[in-house]
Amino acid sequence: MKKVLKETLRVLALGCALGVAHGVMRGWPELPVQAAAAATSCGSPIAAQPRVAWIRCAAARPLTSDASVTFVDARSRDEFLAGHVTDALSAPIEETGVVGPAVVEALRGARVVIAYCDTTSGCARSTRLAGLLAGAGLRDVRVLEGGMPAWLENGYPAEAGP
Amino acid sequence: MTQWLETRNGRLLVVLARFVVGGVFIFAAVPKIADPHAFAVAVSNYHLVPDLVSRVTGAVLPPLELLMGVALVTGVQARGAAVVSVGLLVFFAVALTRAMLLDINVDCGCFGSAARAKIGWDSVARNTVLSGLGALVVRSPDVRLRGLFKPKS
Repeated sequence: MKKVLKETLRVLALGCALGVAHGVMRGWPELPVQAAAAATSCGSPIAAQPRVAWIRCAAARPLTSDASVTFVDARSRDEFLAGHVTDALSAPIEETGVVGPAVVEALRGARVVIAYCDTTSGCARSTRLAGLLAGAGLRDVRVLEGGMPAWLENGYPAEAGP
Repeated sequence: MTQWLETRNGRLLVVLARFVVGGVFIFAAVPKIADPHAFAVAVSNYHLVPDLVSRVTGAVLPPLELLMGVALVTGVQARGAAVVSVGLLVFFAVALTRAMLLDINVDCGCFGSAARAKIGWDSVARNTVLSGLGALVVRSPDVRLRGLFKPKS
């Protein structure tokens, strides 16, 4: 038993030493941080935001009754007015190209933010919005899989108007 | 169990377990060493540890995995490496399960950029099986290949 413990400590010590040497020699890895101001126009390409996770409709549905969770609609204002997830916030990313400070501030207190769109171009608008929100410092931003069409298809709560 | 591990079949299984677990760790470590940034991002995606820890893990864990893999395959300090591997595999399984339960749909990051795959229960099962194999190596009194195929006199 003692021998196994000694071997374990040896492997751990040598492995960690190699790891630290690796980090020092090649530089410690950097995490990409997407600044909110990075995209200033609709046309500017947005790199995939790796820290944004997806969430399935079925998992998001119970969160509508959680006050600390906010849904954000990335579609145009007209699409939002025609019908959106109940109590969702409108952030028409395509029209403005940036997320306004008012939207970011409104979302600042949310524990989880769920962005959605109509899934065109592989949910481009919602992932773009989610990337900007994560870059603005919001810790847990998700993208709704299937977006508004899947939400309505399942008969989940939605409303029209502002 | 320990007695059975001393039999020829038991020892054969332990040697196989060494090669499988060690091989998997080497296979997992090489692409992560080649691209520690991608691995650090994969760790960060789990939302489990602070960013600083993700960055340190991105650099430190791959060489540790490689060392464990080499130790297991060669049989040098194999039981110590097996203890560390079981600890890591159990931790990975818990992290994967947590991510699945929280519906955090991220790349596994298990094999760096060599095999990009979303997390799933299959990843949890793989880690569980590998940790079981690692535990066999820990429990085994003799992990050596030498003498295993020597005919009985």
